[in-house]
Amino acid sequence: MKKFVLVGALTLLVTPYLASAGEDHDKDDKKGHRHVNATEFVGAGLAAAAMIGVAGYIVLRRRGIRQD
Amino acid sequence: MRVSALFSAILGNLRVPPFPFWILLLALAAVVADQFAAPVLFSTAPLFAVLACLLLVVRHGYRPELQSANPSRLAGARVFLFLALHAVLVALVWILGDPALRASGSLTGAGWAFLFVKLCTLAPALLLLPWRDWRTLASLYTTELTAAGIVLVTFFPRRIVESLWPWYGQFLGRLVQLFSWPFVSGLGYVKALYPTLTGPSLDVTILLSCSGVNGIELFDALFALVVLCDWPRLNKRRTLIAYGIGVAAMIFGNVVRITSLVVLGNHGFADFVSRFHINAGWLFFAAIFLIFLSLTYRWMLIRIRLAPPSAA
Repeated sequence: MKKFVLVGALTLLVTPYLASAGEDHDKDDKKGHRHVNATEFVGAGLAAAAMIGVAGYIVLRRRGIRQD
Repeated sequence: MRVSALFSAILGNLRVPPFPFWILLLALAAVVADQFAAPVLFSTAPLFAVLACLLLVVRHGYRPELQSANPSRLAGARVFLFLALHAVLVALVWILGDPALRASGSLTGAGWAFLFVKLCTLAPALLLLPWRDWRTLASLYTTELTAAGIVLVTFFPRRIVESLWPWYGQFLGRLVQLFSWPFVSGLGYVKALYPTLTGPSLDVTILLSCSGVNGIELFDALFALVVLCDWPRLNKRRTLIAYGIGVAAMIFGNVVRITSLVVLGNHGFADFVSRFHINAGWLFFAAIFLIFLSLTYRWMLIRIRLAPPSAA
């Protein structure tokens, strides 16, 4: 349980970076369209995805071992 | 002191099979040294292939059959030849100079030929042992070598995706348009190297970075972790099938991801989509991986059948 809390806390640590990312994205244009051209803090997304993946694997592994 | 004895002394009680271990470690060190000496040789494929093989051999552990196979000692002459061949390879790349630099990473014929040169950094390792010992190694560690081969050719698919992009980009764009069409009226398609889906309030250009290769690389890394941690108790055939299914799921998941961007972006979430689509994409890929793993994990494991309790 402590490890899950730790993973959750680490994910929360990353969240401010996610929220502040992409301030200078493109705000188009004459027709009122937007155009996707984000310059987000990509590393934070990657790190969060990796942590989620690893945490999910740990959960599945533990559950598998218990069931065995 | 023999090199193998030295490694055995260092590794102590880890129960690591010394015979293939030091060969693989030497090969890995030489590939790393090549890439430091001639940075134009940099390629993750041979590095991670050897590293994967090394780690999986360590996870497999000692095979008693190795004792009876009686492998040869690591001969000094063979190590010298191995090092000399690496030095020749690096010297050749230095002599090539600018043409090598231009070819490296390009998608031309010369680029593909230079990729072959990068993979050739693995070839001198064949000199470290007699052919008989390589056959022994291959028969005892078949699955580990196969896994390394898969890592070598599929694990870092960026170059393959880049070379296929002129066709794959159009296929991806058309597929996203097909999936988005029921939800977004007036959706247009601008055919270009990087196709654009034009909607009433958001235009989405599908760049090379939207190809899904990031998702596949994330999947590769996480799947490698699973394989490494559970290697002894994995059913190897099922694991290979699951790997193929997982990569396919990531490719399809990427289509769903871009479709959701087009649909949400044209239904009042244009600002959110343009601001967060990259990080949201990473989280989406992580979610696909978790769904995939929850469906396949137990299936991949070897089932241990417990013997029925004997009657008293």
